Amino acid sequence: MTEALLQVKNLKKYFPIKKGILQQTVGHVKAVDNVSFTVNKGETIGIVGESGCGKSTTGKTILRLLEPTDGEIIYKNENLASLSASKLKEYRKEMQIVFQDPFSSLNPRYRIGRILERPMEIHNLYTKKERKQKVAEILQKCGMDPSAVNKFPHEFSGGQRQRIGIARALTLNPNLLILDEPVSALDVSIQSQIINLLEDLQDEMDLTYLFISHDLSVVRHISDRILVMYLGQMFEMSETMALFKEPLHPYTRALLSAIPVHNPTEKRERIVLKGDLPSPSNPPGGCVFHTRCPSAMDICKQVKPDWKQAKDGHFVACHLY
Amino acid sequence: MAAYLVRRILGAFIVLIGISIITFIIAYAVPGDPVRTVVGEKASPEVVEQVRHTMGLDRPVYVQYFSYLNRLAHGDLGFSYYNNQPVTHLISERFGATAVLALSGWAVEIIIGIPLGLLTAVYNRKITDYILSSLAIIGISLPTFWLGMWFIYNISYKMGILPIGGSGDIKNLILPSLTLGIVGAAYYQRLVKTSMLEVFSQDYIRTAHANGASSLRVTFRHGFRNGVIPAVTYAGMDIAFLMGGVVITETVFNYPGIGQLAMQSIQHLDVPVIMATVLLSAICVVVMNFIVDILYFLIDPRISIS
Amino acid sequence: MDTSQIQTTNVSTVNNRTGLKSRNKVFKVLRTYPMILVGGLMVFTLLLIAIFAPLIATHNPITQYPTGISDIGAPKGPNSEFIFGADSIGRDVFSRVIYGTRVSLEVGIFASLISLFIGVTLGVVSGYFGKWVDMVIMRITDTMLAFPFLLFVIALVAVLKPSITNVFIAIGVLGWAMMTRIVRGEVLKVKELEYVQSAKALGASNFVIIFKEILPNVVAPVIVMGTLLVGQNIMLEAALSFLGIGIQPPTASWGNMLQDGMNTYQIAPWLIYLPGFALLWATLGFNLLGDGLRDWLDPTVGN
Repeated sequence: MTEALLQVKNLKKYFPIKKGILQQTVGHVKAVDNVSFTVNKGETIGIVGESGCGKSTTGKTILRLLEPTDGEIIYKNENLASLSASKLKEYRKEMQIVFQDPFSSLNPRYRIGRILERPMEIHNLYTKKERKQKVAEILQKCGMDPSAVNKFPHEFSGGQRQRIGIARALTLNPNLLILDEPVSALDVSIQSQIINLLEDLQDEMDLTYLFISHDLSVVRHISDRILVMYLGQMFEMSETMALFKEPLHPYTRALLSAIPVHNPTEKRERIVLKGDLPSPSNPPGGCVFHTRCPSAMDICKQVKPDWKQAKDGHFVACHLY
Repeated sequence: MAAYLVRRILGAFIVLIGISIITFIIAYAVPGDPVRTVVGEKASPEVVEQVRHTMGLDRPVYVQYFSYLNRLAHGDLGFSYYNNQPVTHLISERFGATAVLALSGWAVEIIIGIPLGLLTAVYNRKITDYILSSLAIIGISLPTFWLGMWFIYNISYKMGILPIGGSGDIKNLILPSLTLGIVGAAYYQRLVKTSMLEVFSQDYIRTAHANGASSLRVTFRHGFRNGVIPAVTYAGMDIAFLMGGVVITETVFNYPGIGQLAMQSIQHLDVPVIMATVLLSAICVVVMNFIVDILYFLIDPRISIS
Repeated sequence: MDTSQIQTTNVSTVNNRTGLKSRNKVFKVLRTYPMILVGGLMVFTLLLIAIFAPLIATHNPITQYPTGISDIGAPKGPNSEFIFGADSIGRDVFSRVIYGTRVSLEVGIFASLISLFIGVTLGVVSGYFGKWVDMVIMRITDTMLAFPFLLFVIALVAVLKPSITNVFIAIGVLGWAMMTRIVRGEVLKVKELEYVQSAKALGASNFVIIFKEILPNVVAPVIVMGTLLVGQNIMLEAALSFLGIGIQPPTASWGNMLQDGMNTYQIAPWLIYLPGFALLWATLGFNLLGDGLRDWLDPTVGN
């Protein structure tokens, strides 16, 4: 039944740290370290973690907005990681990205019409008239009035701009949409509108989502499966229901305990992590989480835990399992 | 610190090399044959060739460049055929006069510019600010040579208070340094104003105000030190401006400095002297910038690292 | 979803009166930034004078009129025939200043365009491509900035032989460094914005990204710098001509008129009044306009 749309295999993205007179590389920030997962057609995968955990870098590296250091990105039997720029352009049509900041994601110098026609222009699709028609259609789909084409980005609110950003990503009829914190910059009241819109669009246009967020409660809503990341590494991945019902990794548990409870009678113990997020340029040895882990054991300081299937479809990297 | 220093020295060194290449290219591109200037129009072709050879002008360009660099490294700036003297000699004769003029011009800039900047910042958007800022922008727009002539006509010629030109006495210095300084003062005014306004908007200044400190006290205790630092950095860049301004001022006031030497050399197309003045002033700029950067680093290591 | 639609319609009704709105906007800008108004008017009069010079001038600017010289051979001061007096060889000062406007604007504008072209190109390339390209360009820029500009231009013009074309080429070719620095800084800022990332994700080429996404957003500082540059270059041309290595007589230029005046102004001060005033007018006009535009378009630029 399930058909893999995208396979990420051992993806790595290291940023060099330069120092000294000749700016020689003295080390690396491992922003994404050995990340592998499969995205099935039509599903939504949520990637969560604190800021700096490499979730956005993962998204941008999949689109080759950042060049991967190592690893494979398999899409339609083609490894995007090693594709030439000209061939890559073809695949760009099929996967698009929506950014976090609705204020810097639209070029302030252009009217919305131009902004939305540009993608089709770049790929030489359709005639001028068809493009205008397409734009009107897509705007309506995203809950905007087609008259928006004559206005400039600054005439819209954050939520409206985010709708326009989504519309732009959809003009090329992509299969996969990477949503990079698409609601983090919005008011809570607007957030749910956008999430609902994304869900509607997914059904309507047969979309697959990679939803990146630091907020588990947002991801819970929309995701079929969730991947938890920490300092560039995968900590846990499972179906959303299972993850919320029975989080395995101590880090996931801590994240979950921070979500406000809707039902005041429900008692839950708040797990507060000790210490700060370690510097990604100099991560702790062994399990990178051991410095803050409430259940750390001796082995955690020495050995990096393997990625293993603890339950059916529930994966975790932790020595507890 | 050491790494920063080494990188900064390396950077300055590269710029110096760049300067030597550019001056060499311009000098090399001079139309007309330098050999002819030496031997005269009537010399026979054999003599011309022989002199060309002894001057090294028949060698490939890059060889000529390296020998030029080599001579520079030994402090040899060439020979002025027009003055029949080594360029180094000509310049060292006049360097002191120009340095004195540039320094006093700079003093005028500071003396006028910084208080003006403080005043316009304290009275921001009030009538005092509007009047003084207008004066400052007129100052920036004033042609140096016109201002100089105006001074000479009104103060020296009509009132007869100060000498028309020349050098040797402190009286000779007043008008030229005013001319040089008034035009440049406005830059300091702007810098000080901008940075003071920035400082005023900082929380700690507001806190001081809220705690009841008087306006003047706040301005001087907290604002001045932070607000004036950018103006100090500008002093490095300013050398470039002053060295250019000196050419005009010295010409107008008939002041025997390097600027006047440069002008005379240009009129006689005395290329080695022209290039030496350009080269030396550029080196002055690089060295000044370097010193300012290092001082800056010593005062506040955070600033220069980025 | 409902709220957003309501907002959309609100915005559109407000904007139906665009014509009225944009006119009001111009007035508002001019009221808020009077420097733009004053500077703009000053520059505008210069342009009018330059265009209509033959209509405004009362005399031929290069003809030497015997009536301009007194019996003892001195130039005549302002009188009914020569309203601002005559110069040392009997030419009409007023008409020469009028024609000098053409030379000043020509040199000022063309030199600035050359600097602008070089500066923007290098700045964009440097900021956008980064790495060693950036390093090389920035080192060259540092080098160019180390030269005292006036002396540098003097040296080049002297070598090239003075003429209007050589003057503006020399000024233009040497004067791009500041522009490069500013444009590079702007590009570095814009480059990281998400709309540029988005264009990249859409498959746009570097060429398209530079021309369609980045350049439109560095226009403001370039206009500001360009305006200030015209004023500076007019001053520079005058300085060169004053020193005798710019525009050569008999062609009228404010600078060479002042040079002519320098030898005789003790007995004929009118020789330096009008050309000096014209020069001040021009540089002040462009400086005011540039500063005003900077305050309006981009309060963050400027040093």
